[in-house]
Amino acid sequence: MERKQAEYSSLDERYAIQGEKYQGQQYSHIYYTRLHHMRNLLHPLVTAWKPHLPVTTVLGLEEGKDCIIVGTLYKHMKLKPSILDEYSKERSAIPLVKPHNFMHPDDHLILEDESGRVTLAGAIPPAAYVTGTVVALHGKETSAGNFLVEDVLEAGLPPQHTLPSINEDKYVVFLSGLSVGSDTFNPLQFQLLIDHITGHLGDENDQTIASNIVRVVVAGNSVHISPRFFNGQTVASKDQSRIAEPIKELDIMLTQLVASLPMDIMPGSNDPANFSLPQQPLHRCLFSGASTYNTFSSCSNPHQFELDGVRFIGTSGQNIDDLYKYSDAKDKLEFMERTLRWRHLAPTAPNSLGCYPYTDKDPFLVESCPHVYFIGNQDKYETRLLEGMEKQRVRLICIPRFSDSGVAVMLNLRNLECSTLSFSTSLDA
Amino acid sequence: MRSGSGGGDMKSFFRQQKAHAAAGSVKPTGGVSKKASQPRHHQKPVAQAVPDLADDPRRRIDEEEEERERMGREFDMDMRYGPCLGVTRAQRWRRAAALGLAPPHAVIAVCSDDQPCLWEGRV
Repeated sequence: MERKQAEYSSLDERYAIQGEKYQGQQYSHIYYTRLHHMRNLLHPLVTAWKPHLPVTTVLGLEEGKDCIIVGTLYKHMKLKPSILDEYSKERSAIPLVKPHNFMHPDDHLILEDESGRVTLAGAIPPAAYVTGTVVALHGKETSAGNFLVEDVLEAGLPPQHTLPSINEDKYVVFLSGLSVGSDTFNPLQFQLLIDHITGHLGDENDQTIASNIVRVVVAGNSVHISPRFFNGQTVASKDQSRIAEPIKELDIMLTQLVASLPMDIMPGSNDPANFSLPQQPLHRCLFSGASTYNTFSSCSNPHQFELDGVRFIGTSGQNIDDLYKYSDAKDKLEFMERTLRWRHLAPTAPNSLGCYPYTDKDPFLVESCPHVYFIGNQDKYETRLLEGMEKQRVRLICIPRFSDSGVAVMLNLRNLECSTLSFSTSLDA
Repeated sequence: MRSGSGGGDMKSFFRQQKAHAAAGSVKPTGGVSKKASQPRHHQKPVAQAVPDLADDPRRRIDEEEEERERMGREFDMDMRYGPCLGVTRAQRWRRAAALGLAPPHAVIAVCSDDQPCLWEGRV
């Protein structure tokens, strides 16, 4: 039985840090390029939105005059942890236990461009926005010196290439949060998944389904190395081999997978890769067995690729988790939708999410709308088909942690429909 | 070593002391900054009637250097091209060109590849 194939091309060049040279620069440059790029996008949209209003800079604001300003939002948050709190004299004011979500009713937004900043008030709810988003605002300056917002314009979903028509069912399997080496990892569950995908399991029907799977994408946190090795003390020689055990185990299992079909593996927050985004691909020497196959592909986080003309963008979840800490939405899918509407994968980088200080570009800007947008390491499986104003259609997928849920996600390239593969090893039904 | 502090007048003031210490009271080539020339260092008569021929090439070179410095400084301070700290002038110019801002060509001609901006090392 032959496995189906799909044409793959990786679009990850923008996330490679190899060519960058660090000269001691700060983050002002990445904010400048982001504002410049987004402003060029917003200006034509603004003239279409409210053509009769003038666009001014913050410095050019006149009191009482209706106008439009474009700039980067900054959200002033009372509870946001600051390194300077360690040095403050009134330690008691700051809670010792850090809350998961840093929102507070007193948070307010400030708009900043090259000329200055202005505090915002009015029809712009701070709970829905985060620092680093670029928007256009219609309103007027008040006598108190604030800018009273009447209306907000976001860039909206970017233009999308048309979805190519594929005649047969081809599936992509998404996995995330394997956490090999942790207490919650169940090797039998992962082995079941591998056997199913490689076609070693089930009768002919099951094998037919498995032969339609063209690719596996592992979206982060594939290993879990015990935190006791990270407390800064030197590791005893008998423990040194223990650190590498999860990675070796992962390599053995991935070799079985890679022998059968192409696979992409992305680093996550717990993986042995760099901390700041964009995370560079996991090194091939970590996978001495799997990397000998040409079907093994180690990718960056975020990861962008094209399969048979269908465009995918995905991360291991750090960008959405950070949005969850600093803003509010009814579910993770809404955060994902917002990042697409703001045309930026990680607006909180570099404010609260680690990021490389680029000088001449911002690689997280989304220029063309993907067909599939996935994030890994989430609490539960969620999916939605997002429709845009210009008939864009995006499949949003939240991939749950495999070690907790035993669930992998299967996407059909033909119609962008999503389903789950659920594996359980408990003997009670 | 040339002093790089302060506005254009201070620069010419110091250079005045070193290069023209022997020649004495040549008026500073004050086109460097928009501030009016400070009268404090000049109680001497203004502009010699007959310029000293031996100073001419030196003065022209100095004028050119000042002009280059001035262009560099104006380019650094221009808000449209973004922050100047942390990148060299040439990199900033190329970034501005890549973003479509059309920075003046005269600037790239005068800055060498690793010349930092005005505030480098001081802020």
